[in-house]
Amino acid sequence: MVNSELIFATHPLLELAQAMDKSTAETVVADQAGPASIGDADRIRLSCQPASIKINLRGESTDSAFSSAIKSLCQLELPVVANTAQTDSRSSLLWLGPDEWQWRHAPDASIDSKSAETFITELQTRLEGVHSALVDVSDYYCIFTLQGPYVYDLLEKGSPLNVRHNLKAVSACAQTRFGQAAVLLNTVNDAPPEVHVQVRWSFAEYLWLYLREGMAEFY
Amino acid sequence: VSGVNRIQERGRINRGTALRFYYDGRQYFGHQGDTLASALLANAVYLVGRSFKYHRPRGIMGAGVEEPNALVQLEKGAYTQPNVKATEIELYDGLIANSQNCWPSVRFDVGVVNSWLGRFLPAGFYYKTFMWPASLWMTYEHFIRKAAGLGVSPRSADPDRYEQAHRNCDVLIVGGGPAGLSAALAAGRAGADVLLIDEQAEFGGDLLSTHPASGYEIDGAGVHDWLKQTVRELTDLANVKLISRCTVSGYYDYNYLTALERVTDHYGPLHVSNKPRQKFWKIRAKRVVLCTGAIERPLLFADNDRPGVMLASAIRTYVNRYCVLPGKSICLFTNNDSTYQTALDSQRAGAKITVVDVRENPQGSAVRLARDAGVRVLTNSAISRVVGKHGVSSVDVKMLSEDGKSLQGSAEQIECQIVGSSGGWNPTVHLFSQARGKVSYNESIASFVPDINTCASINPSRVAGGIKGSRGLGTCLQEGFEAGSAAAKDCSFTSASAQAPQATDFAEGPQRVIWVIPTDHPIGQGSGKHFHDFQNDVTVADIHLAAREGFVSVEHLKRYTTTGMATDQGKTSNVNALAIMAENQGVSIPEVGTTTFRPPYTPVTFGAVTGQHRRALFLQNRKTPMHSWHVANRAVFEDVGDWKRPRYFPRRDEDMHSAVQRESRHVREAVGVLDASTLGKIDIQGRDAAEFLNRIYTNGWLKLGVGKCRYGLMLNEHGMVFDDGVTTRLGEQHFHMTTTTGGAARVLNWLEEWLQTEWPELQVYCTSVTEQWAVVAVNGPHAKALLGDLCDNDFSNAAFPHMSYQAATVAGIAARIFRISFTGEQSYEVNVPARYGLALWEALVSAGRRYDLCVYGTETMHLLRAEKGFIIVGQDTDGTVTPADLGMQWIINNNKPDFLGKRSFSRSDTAREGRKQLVGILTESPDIVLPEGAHFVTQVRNSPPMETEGHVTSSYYSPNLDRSIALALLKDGRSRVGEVVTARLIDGQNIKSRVVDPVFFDTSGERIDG
Repeated sequence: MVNSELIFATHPLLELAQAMDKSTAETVVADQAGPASIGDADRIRLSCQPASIKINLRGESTDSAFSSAIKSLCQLELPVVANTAQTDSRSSLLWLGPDEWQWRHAPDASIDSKSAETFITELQTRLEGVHSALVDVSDYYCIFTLQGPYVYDLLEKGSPLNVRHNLKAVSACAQTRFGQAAVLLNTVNDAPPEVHVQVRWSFAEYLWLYLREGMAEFY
Repeated sequence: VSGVNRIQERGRINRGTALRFYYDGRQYFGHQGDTLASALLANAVYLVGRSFKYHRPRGIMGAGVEEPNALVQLEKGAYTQPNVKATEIELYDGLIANSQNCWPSVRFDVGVVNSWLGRFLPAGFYYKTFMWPASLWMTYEHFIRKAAGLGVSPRSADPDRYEQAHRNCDVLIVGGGPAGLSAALAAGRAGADVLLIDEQAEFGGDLLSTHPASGYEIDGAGVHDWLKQTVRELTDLANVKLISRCTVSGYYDYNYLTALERVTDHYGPLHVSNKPRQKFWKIRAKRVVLCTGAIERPLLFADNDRPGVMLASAIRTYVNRYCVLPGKSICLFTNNDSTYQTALDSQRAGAKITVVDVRENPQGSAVRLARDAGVRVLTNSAISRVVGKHGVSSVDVKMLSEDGKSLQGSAEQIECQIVGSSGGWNPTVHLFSQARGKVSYNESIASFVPDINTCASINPSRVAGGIKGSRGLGTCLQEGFEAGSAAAKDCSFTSASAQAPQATDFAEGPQRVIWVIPTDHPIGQGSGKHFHDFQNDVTVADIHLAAREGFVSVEHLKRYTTTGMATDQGKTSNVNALAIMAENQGVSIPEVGTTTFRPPYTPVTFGAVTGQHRRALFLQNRKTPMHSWHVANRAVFEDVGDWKRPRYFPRRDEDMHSAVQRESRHVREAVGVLDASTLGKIDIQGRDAAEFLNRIYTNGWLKLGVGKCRYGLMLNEHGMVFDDGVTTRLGEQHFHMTTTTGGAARVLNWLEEWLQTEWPELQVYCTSVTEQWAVVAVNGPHAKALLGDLCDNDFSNAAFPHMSYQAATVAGIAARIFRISFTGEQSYEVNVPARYGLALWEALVSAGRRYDLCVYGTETMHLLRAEKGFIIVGQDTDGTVTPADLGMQWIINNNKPDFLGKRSFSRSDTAREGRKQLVGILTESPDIVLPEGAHFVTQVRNSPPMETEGHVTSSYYSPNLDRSIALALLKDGRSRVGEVVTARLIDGQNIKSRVVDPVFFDTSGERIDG
């Protein structure tokens, strides 16, 4: 009885979508049961990404057994420079701390919670005996996309981080707060900027409302 | 239409738009570009308010932020705002303002009786008079506030929206006058990230008040052309951001500054906009350049508070910028050259000007120009009296004695409608002072200037222009440019253009400092009052009185007389007050010292400080994946931290008590499900994971088998219970820890702190997985059967015993099942990835119908665990409770070499007799439910105080025992089982209760296996 239709049966923005006034600019996408996007990318656009695999990786970057195992499976170099990410069309590897990363697979309809388990099992085999931890956090967080020239003007309304500087480069990432929500930001595009905002599932509604209010003056 | 005082100049107003506004109920017109003050003066409205204490008539004195008198009540209803300076309100169509602090009207004010009683209302009057009896203070305060208060606060909720925003920059420049603009050009051209902030609607500062024909030029262009071109250049620079209508309100450590931007105030409250009303900026700057200019100092002469007595420079601003000539005949009273520009500009605008100069022989170039233009100049003279009550009709002028301390000869009466006074200029050092910078006294300007090195290490900043005491336009431009270049260079940006904008300084002669202008009678002994603080209604005589009464410290003086306090922050009064004190005490001004300016520089609305964080955004409502089901099924929610958890699920018209009684009975008789998703969860992995837990928890963890669960207590270093939960060994080096809902973040921090700072040699990684898993707790006699219907695992006690774990597929969903119990029943906590939480819940509810399943909330969970004597950390403990106090010695493994808190058990206080211990309590009357928090007393008396020997921590009516039960912390409790104790309630009842073992239900624990 479990299939991909269930994925968003408990979408964090579900209630918001149900309560939504049809006259607002938010559009409801049926298969996501959540407010899919607001605004337009010429100025600013906020959208909610479908589910994706997210794995928290812990290990020693200086341990070549660890970094090469990661590289062989993720096809990405382990980023060792603070607040940077490695990305290809399929997935990203984000630096979270000196011994902590997140591997994130781009949203894909074929993915369910088993996919993360498969990945973890595969990687665990390669990391036999290596000090490391792989933890599935796919359902812990959801990710919003912010696009358009006003992205930084919006982000500075909630984050004390120097977003214009710290998130300028494509592949920059940073853990900070937005209002009261802890967020993981990463820049995936510039000109115009596109920033992904990862937030705890339970803070998603709060963050969505905060961003929605803050972006009103720009579109 | 826009007023009798309007003159035909271009100024900076837009005559194409006529704006209607209302002041004290009367309709007037003004123009776009006007302030409320300039529009009122244009309409010959001079009387705008009553003073704070004496209710004396007051008029507009300044033209900007320095205004102490013209505080008005702006707008009505929910939009009303008290104490707004008329000089800072940009005029908009439909504006409504009223004078404040007067009743019934500004022209006839009953409170003026205070003025007739003035000699009985000296400094410190309130302190002296209303001190006793102390019990009457509340009554006094009510009337004092009514009589002495300023405007009134709105009573309804603020309808506006506010925002906060953070901004980082290389160079923050405060003030957009000549120095600030020049600094921005230098730093901006060098490529630094520049933020230029100015409080006014337009950039330009003093340039806005400069007449095009006054002969000032910058780089060969007229000042207005230069200004236009400069603002355009700065706007075009991508690395420069300009914010106008924005006041830097606070300067805090490490170049952290706050600023209030009035985004839509100038459109009025009815303007519809997607923008917030105001924006509160929180700025971090690598370097700060303060170009805050200077504020003119009024001369202190008799009756200097009459409506129509203004600052000389303000007259110039009204004439040149707003095209308002406040009076056809103007008497300017000065001690310095700057006033002569006002004389020239006002005369050009058609006024008859007389200058009264205290100096014997004023010599500067502006003086010469004024004399050449036919301005009458009376030297070595002073105004001894101002005639007129609600306005000025004339002044008396007398010759000064040689020492300037008295007057001589007969008075000449000079007819005039307006008096402009200037006692020199005070650098605006407020922000610098907030930044912990010290100021030093500069004799030549008779004021204080920043000593820039005093705060350099904490708040690297520079100053340029008027704040340094500089006067000439060329000097200000040069200083600004240098400061901007240097600040940019500090941030590794080197300026390409080394040339500052050029302008000529006009030569100025020295000023003659006479702090208190003598009058016909000694200060404070006649009818003429010398006001130095207009907003707080403080006179020179008040300072003398304060000194006589022993208030010789400047900080005491400030508080005793209220000089320089409140919304004004001493903008026009501060230096004069210090000088009067110094003169009175016969010491130099630096010896008197200075007070400290405090943030905010000007008032900041509470709305802006709150920003977005109100209503739905005040606090996040965290919801579990099953939340929508709970809502649809009429759950009543409880706040647990920031989580919303179902407290109970009432059926039909059940109240909380009956719902909880039903749920609690049902779980023990059939089966119930609880949404336990909010429990904290931490994934722990690594070679040393078991050893790590062995140190963190009080019991042993090394031998826990894979697939087994164990309950653990976490203590802090003091041996006190800090958190609890069940941890399960998923693999040899892999554990799943659960914490209390509220403790999730705290416990992870705690684990990381020990790992990172004390035990870095342990190979362990902790990862929070709280929200990865949705959790349903299935409890009750039918739990096994229910799960058996949805899952292929063998749920027999042998195959799946209590305190063990199995992977499973429940209702088609991959799950982790932990057989652990917080109710004492057969109990399984089913964990699935969050996205499947609702599906799992619905599947269980649906399959559970044949078992008469009920859903239950946190209240029933609490009751059921209390029946079993299970503690809740934070409810039955309070940070002072050890495991021994809880009767949980069984969980302490003293054979372990060490664990957190172990050593504290031998502390005398932890080991002593007489500690409070957890016990069960049964009231003698089974129907009485003791209130939680009720105290047991050693001896009952008629009234408190009574000695307490403990208190009730949890208390319920148990449906399964059909009587009340309670848990309590009681002194030496466990040795007193069987004793009768008395709880004294707050309403005076004494409840007799028996001390019992804390396990009330199923004492043998056989239900857990079913």
